[in-house]
Amino acid sequence: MSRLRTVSGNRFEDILRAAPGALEADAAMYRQIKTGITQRLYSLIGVTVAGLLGLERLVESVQGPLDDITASQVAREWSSAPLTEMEKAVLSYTEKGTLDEGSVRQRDVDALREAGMDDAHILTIATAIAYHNYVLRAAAVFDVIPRREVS
Amino acid sequence: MSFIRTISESEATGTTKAIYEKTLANLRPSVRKRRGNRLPPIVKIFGLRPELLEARVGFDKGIYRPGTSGLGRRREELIATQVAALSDCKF
Repeated sequence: MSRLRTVSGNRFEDILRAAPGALEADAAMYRQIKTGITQRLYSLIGVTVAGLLGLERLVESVQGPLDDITASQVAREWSSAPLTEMEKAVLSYTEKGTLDEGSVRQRDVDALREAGMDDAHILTIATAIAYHNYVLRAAAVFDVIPRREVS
Repeated sequence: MSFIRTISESEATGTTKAIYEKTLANLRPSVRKRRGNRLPPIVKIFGLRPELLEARVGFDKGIYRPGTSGLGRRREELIATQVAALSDCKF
């Protein structure tokens, strides 16, 4: 049972339903992030954030198309998972953006450019990191389940 | 100086320009004056993807909704300031 009284159920969306317009605003943000990033990359970021925040119990809800072994490995230690160089650059940025955001420097963003991303793509990735942090932290403090990513 | 390119007020066209103008108009007069009638850099970063900018503005209104929490602006700003400090964020 959620720590917060929800309109119904025990899901993140139920909390948003309590505030007029919140569910729609969240859905629009989610949709726009997803149009600028692949499902695999979106899920890799989500699983990494869940692992870094110690929220392994929520990995299943954000892993999307990732198989259980890969998701578990990424959540535990993404740097040892079988990932492309581009994915590793994104997850390195994800780690800094989640645990030590004040330490992000130009060279961290340049590493993404060197991995082949343009600035609009980097903006979307940074927004996906922030969004996953928001959803997963809110889910943890309210003890609700985030929106389940379809595989 | 931001780590990625921003779209300035004078460069903005179409949807980006419309959202910039609307965002500027919605700033409190004291904030607009302090900023010299210029948008906060965080808004101009999103100018690279106008649809994402629009969603972000809607997200602020629909989720964060400053001034509507019942906590009062002072407490809202105290929370925001504390989160910024914990995040080592200069804003």
